[in-house]
Amino acid sequence: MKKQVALSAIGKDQPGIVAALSKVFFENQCNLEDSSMTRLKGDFAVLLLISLPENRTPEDLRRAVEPVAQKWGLVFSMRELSPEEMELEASGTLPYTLVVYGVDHPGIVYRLARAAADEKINITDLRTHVTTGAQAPLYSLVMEVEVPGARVAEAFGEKLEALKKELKVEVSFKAAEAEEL
Amino acid sequence: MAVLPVLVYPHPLLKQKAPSLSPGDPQGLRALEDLEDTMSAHPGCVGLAAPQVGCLARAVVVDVSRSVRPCENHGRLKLLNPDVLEATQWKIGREGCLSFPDLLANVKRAQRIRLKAFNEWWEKMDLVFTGFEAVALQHEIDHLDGILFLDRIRSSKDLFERRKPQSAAL
Repeated sequence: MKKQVALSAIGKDQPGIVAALSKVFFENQCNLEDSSMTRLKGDFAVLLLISLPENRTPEDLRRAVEPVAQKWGLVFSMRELSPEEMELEASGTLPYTLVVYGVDHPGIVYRLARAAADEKINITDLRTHVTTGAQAPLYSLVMEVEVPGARVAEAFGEKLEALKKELKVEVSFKAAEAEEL
Repeated sequence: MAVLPVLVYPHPLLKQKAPSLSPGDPQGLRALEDLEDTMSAHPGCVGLAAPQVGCLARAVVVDVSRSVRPCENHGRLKLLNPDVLEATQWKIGREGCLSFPDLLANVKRAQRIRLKAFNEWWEKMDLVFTGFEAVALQHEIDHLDGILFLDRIRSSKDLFERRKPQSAAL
């Protein structure tokens, strides 16, 4: 039976982290299925979905990762996925992208995320940046979401118009189109 | 003629739609001269739109021959009331903007456009532009409608912080 684990790790950025981690997976015949790794200021963060071979348990992998994480100063956690979770695929939802930017102030993410959650809109990816502007720090945010249906998208669009004025930000909310180039 | 400060977001003028110039309006030529002077003062800058220097008028300058990467070009373009008539061959490319000094974004633009505009002497032009020159023109014309490049981002992987100074700025 297929076994999958989700692993997250974070630690001070330095050259060699990805090589050290992927070496462990390679030596244990694990397959790196999905990954997202990025540096935020001085920290490097890793999110991985790994499938294990028949002859390895999640516990084997944990034991193999532990000394590497320790050596590289990474805090990590691991969780095995249930068979249902492995089958999980988004169905019947519409992908949308929300872009918001404006002068930085507390509460932007919260208000947007709250509004999304209230409409049962699922956030699948979120990136934010604060950059030092000439006059004021600029906050920019790009959020990818799954919307339960077209009517919800419309309602959320209206909510965003109100939030745009209240938060004094620019907002664009569009259906994510498949790029055919 | 003057080198003017380039407005940085959140300056409200950047989100406003600029009205068309009346044919023969001397404000057009003045705007073009200021844009040219200001662009020259920013190495790596390949285009500017009048609202970026605080002038709400439909005037842009583009000169992709200033780009560090050589590309096909018509030299210095000084355009009044530009209007895109046709846009084809869409492609995603990375852009910067002097009004957002710290950000870069992947934006989908047409690689071939047909443009109607007036030159600095108010002569009618109808020209076809391709490649980076077409992209730069679309970026600047967007400014005239208060559309900024961040408004055109389509995915969370399309926004980047500028980690080192200077690639082509528009």
